[in-house]
Amino acid sequence: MSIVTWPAGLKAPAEFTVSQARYDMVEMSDATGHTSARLFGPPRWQVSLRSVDAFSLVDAGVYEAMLLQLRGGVNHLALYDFIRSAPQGSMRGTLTLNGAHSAGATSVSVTGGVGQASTTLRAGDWLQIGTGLGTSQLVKVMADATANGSGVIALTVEPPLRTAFSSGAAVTWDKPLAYYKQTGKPQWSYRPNRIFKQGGFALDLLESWA
Amino acid sequence: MLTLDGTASARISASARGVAWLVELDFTTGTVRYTTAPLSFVISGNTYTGLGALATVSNLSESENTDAEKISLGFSIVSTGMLGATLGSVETYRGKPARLYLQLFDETFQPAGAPVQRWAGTMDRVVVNRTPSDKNGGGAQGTLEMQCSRYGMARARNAPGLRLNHAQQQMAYPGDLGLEYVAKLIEQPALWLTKAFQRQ
Repeated sequence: MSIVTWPAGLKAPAEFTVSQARYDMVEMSDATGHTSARLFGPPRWQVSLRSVDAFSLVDAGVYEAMLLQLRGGVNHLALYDFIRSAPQGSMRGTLTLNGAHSAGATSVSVTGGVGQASTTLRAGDWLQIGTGLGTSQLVKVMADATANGSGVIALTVEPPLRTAFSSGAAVTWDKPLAYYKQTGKPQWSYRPNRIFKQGGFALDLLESWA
Repeated sequence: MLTLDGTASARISASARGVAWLVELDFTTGTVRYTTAPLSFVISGNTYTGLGALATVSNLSESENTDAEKISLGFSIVSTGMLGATLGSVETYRGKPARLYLQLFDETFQPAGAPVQRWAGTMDRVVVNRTPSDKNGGGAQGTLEMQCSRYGMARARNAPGLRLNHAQQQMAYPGDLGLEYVAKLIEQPALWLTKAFQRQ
């Protein structure tokens, strides 16, 4: 297995849909409304991409190559959110985890040093905790937060951490990645008699950490 | 009756919980531990590899009779680790211990409470089930099925296997000829005609 990255220079998709696949089974009593949820696993991010509708054959070739390098569900695509590629909050710089965090945690402490004092992260911002396939996790900030004078910010995130992370683990705010596998089959369509003859690329992806 | 610790008891009565099997297989080459949860976990100092849907455990039943009470552990053939373990030499697994534990998980999908042993037995044999690819180009599928029997099956099989016959009576009580004609009487039953029938 190898990790494929979004090719430099390839146009961002025209449509980018993010969803969260959950693996729960919920039962509800008709009489009382009492619900019981059975969890079968942690949630996974799910992404659907739709390309712009008109590629030159040269640009389309780059897209084709990326799709085929995924080899179906064999290789991973390292992908970031094209729209929220950076936080809406003002926190930047080199961020790390402030202290060790155990698996299951939804409260995360991040530090950027005194240079990031009073900076913010906003609800909906993405962060990648850790690096690499299987050793990192993409989380979303759940509430606005402001760093203290030392540049330490306390965050609530979703989903809960899948694994434990040690103190000092890298936290990426710029184009934070998750690792996905293709769930559909690669295909494209041609548009004869048009200037841009190729388009219609679609890519459905499901987060995979193994 | 299952005895759960406080954390697990609280979790099982909570409105959200997860449940997964922890499986321990004592191969001669070492103990293999995996879980039907989709993540790997370190529980009680042991690492259980998360196979998720690649592993299945058949339904468990309990009874007091001498029925076989077999269970089967299924592994997808894409689980190369289990493929290697179960397709190895039969001496490495047949008759060796297998254990099943129930593990509860909380709403963040982390283990809640200690695992509870639900079944123990021995590994028996491995069956390979293959489904060929269909006409529409669907991929071939396959599962490895490891059948496991509960402890004491060999002894349990012997009990109903014992027969009341002359040979075994001689072994137990030499010289006792009480069952000498049992087999003949069973195979060639003598007809006893009624007095009324004989007068006809």
